[in-house]
Amino acid sequence: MPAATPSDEHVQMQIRTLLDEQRFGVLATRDGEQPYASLIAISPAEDLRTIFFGTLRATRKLRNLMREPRAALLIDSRQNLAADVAEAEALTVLGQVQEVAGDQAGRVRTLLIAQAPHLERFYQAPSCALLAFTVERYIRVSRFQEVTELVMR
Amino acid sequence: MSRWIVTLPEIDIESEAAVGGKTLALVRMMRMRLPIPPGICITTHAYRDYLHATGLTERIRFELARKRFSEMRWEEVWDTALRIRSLFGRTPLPLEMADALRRAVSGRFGDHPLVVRSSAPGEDAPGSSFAGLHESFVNVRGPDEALERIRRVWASLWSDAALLYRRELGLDVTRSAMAVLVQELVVGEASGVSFTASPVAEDQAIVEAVHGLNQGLVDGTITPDRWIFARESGALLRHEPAVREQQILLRDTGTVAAPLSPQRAGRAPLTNRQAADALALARRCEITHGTPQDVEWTSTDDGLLLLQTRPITARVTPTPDPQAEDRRPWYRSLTRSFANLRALRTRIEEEILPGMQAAARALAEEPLRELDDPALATEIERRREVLEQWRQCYWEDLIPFAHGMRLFGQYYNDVVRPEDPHEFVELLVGGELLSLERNRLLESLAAMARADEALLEHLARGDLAATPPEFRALWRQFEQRFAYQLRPDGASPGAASGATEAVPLLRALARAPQRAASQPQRPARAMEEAFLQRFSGAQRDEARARLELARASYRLRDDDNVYLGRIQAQLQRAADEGRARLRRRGETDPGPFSDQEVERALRDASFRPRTARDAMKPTEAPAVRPRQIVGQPAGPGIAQGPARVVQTPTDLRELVAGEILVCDALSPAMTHVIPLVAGLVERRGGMLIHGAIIAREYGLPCVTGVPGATGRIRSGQRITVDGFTGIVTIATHATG
Repeated sequence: MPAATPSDEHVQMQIRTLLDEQRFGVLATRDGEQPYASLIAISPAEDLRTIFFGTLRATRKLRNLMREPRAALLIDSRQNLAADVAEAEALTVLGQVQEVAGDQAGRVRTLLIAQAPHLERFYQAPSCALLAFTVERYIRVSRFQEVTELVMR
Repeated sequence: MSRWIVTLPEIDIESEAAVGGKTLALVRMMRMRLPIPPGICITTHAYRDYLHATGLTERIRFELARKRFSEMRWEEVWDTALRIRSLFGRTPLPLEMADALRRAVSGRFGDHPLVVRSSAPGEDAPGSSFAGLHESFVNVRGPDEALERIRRVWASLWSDAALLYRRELGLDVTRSAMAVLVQELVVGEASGVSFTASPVAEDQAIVEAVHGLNQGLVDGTITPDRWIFARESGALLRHEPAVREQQILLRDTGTVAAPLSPQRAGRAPLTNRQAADALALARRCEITHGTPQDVEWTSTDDGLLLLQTRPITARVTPTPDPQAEDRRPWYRSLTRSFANLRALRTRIEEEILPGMQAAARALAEEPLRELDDPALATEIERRREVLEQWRQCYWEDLIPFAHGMRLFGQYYNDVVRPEDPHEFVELLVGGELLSLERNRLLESLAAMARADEALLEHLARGDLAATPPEFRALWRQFEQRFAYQLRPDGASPGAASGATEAVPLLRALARAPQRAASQPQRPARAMEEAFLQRFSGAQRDEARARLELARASYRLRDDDNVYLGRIQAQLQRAADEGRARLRRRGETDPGPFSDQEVERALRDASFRPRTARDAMKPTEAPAVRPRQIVGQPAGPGIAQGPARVVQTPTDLRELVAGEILVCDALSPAMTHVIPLVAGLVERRGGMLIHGAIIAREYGLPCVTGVPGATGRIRSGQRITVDGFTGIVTIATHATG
């Protein structure tokens, strides 16, 4: 398994491209021992260190995250075709999730709304929590089995 | 000619998808050398490019996908249309497009006043009967206003009426589009509509005409003169003159109805000869289009000018009937004009509501004890008829009056363009609602009981003499005006005084922290000021009048429920008297008998209702468990607590302070518990319904339009009401 460092611009660019192209990801959280997966709309920060998303306060994923901030996120380019096995890319992201607050919340909200203007009212709602997934490690899978890691810290 | 703008002579006869039915019909007639006012068409490409460039496509799709249409009430469809309309109002044209349209409009028309009309592809196809779904504007001044109106015409592709008929219209975010016809406004001496075949008698043709512009004729505010012709021979059968009082005139922008001068009122808008010419014009349209036509025209010094032609089927609309299987014609009839609503208000305030009060009072004064059993049965029957008659009136006049709020909402949004399309409701609240008056009385009683618990014990025993005079006076006032509303109908025949119902409620209120509804002096005053500042002169007066009407509509739509409740209570009183007699006669439990059953049993000693009422049983819990249900955000805020599902008014007795009330439709007979609850969930949807109005007055988080609310949520479940997004979440664990 070839290891990459943050200085490896090529890998970073590939990851950047996938993140920019994809609007959604699957977030994995944990309820005690029970893993829990949910589909979310994502918005990556410029520096690849953070991925933002929003969720309502009453949701199960938020409750899980409040108890256990460690989470995983899967972002991929599959199109539900046979060719996906060879052509699709998948990115597994490991890290921790915190709620954003204060000044940062305004900036994050603007970013999320720019990405999905039709969700404006959702992100504006006081009942919507804005969250930052702080990335510790990207694991990129391409060409069926080629796996590359990018360690962020 | 460009992708976005074409002049009428440039239009290809095959291009209906780009220019729409109305434009194309005119172009066809122009090719037949019929005179029409010069104009341009803003193509459907412009509409599509605007939607694409601004991301509106996704926003509209999102609005439409929120909730299944089949689960929406008409009010919710209207709310959806308002939200979409507001999206168009708040989304400017891309710069390049705005420049191109502005150049085209000012280059072509200069300062000339304009008409801006919808021209949707397919709308005027023979056999489609959907006239009046989309908007048109007369007397639009200057390119900026024209651009504004064009956006509003685009938005009307998604009007409430269009959404109701979305299936028939094939309305679809990706496929549907709207073209806009912009023409010079021509103010003729007289204007009118010709029907080459009468909608009521096929062998006749009709010409209708008014002095001046024909807007009043088309929207029904001005009665036209009519000429009836034989369809075959074209011979004039008769002229039916109208009582001519008004005509439509231009003002700075838009139009206004004004009195006719005596000279004009004294003569018909057309000579018989001119009427025959107006029919001949329409005939030529019929020949070209191959089907009977409904033709709008205006008469100038140079002769008749064709304004519009469309197949005649568009004029025949089914009679609005709230009981019909297809209620949509009735829903559409609820959309009233400002003038119509003003007249309706006078009738409601001067005739209907006093009539309802008088009816309730008269029924209350009748001594029932003196009647023998058959006479009591007849009295129950009569009261049911009285109630039915007022209920009819409720459907025909009171429900339509609610449109006053909606009409104002559109007006407000067009002017203010607020971020929240329901912001206008803030301007309406705080008026004197009867429900709130009652709740204030209850709160005053509870406040006294808070200080002295013994008061309620006295009241429960019926020992009013033991209470201090001010408590007694308040109680009497409450009992007289509102106590009947606390009686869940048919549930507790003995509770004649209302005390049995009121005592537990007062006890709960006394224990709960005090919660008051908002007082009239809120930021609403500043908002009102800011709103009115946007107008000057006569337009400010109009804005004020519209706001006034909306407030009356808001207030009356709550009060009418209370008045109707009083009449219903009088039917109940007679039925209760009957139940008491049946009990004396040896019937063990006549409590659950309906009033019809009581009536039959009074007449026929051997009658026994076959079934106990099992319709009230709570629905079985479904196997599929809902976790989040999407409704409409109707009162901002978030609340969490145990659900109290109310299937019948008796369930209210179990309500504990801090619970979330879940009901099918909040009735005025239920609102007295509102000061106790933490949030409100209602199956019935809409931003302007009773529950939403009351929730807003108390600042309660509220979600309405939650499909199957009382069946899918169970009492005791911990739920979260998110009144910001309109989502109800049901906890999976009892602990949350």
